[in-house]
Amino acid sequence: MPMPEYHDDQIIALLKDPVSKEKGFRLLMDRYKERIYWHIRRLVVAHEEAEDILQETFINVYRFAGSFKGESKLSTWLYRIATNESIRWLKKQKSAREEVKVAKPVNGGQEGYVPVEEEEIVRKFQQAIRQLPEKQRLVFNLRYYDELSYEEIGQILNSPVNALKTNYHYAKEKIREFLLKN
Amino acid sequence: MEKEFKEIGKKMPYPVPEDFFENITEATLEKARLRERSSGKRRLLVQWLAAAALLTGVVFTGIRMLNPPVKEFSAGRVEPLEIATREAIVAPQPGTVVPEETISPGKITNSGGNSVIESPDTPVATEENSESLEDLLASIPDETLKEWGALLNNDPFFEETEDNAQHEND
Repeated sequence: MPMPEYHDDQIIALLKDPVSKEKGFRLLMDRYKERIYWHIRRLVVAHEEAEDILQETFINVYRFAGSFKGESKLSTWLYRIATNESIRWLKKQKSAREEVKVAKPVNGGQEGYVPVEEEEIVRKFQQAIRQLPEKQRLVFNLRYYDELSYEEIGQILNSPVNALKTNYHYAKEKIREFLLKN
Repeated sequence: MEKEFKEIGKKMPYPVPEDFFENITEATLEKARLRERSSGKRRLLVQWLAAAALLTGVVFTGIRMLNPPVKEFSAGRVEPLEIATREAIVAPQPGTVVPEETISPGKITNSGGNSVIESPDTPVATEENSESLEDLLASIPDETLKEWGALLNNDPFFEETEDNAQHEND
């Protein structure tokens, strides 16, 4: 029997009710964990850190779901928490910007993983993104990978749309330059 | 998606451990439960401590109000220290009954065979202080006095005054 499809509003209502809190939490994680994980992973690079920050993000949602007023989309709220947690971690770990060796997959076939022959260009691309200033990197990732609108990114990063467009434009230029040079 | 990066797409060069996404939900839920439980305990402890501090404050204030201190000090005012002087220690306190022969100058009222000192306005002289210079000199042997005289004559720091010179001439 297929599971009924829940809207974000319903998930939030379940989360706010102590009786159905855990059910709401499972539904929320199942819907957003991969998206949020990859958003964090692109920022912090290492899997272990991304796992910790992902858990911290959802624990915060579990504990403070009552404070969500519904002024933005649920996904925007999640991205905002995840982004803040990642930035906090990045500030603690300045070495995160260093080149990270790409480990061999434990078991191939994960979604989004690249075969070895395509690896080089993808690695270069990630390298180019990592050398961007923090704000440009965030805007680029949210726009390019997560395909969020500028309005949503503005809510996540607390920035005006025009500034975000400028950031995105400069980010693209720098990435293109980096790829040409390397 | 940007046409500039079409050939790259959204592929990621980062591997993810097997079954990571399958297990992360339950692992996170377990952590969230623990965190909420421990934060609940911490909140309870803080509430208990606050209540205990408040109760202590109330009890202390009550005790202070029921038993006010004997001497009130006004804020910013420095009280002079009471220094025990020799006279204060030696002199009898007002109202003290002392034998007649040890009485020194002061306000004295007779009370039977003894005298009562009412209020000594000036430091009261003691028996030792009242001993005269003549009595002191009389108690010193002549040899000792002569030795002191010889020392005085040989003392280079002793300034010779007219009185001293006249005394020597005598």
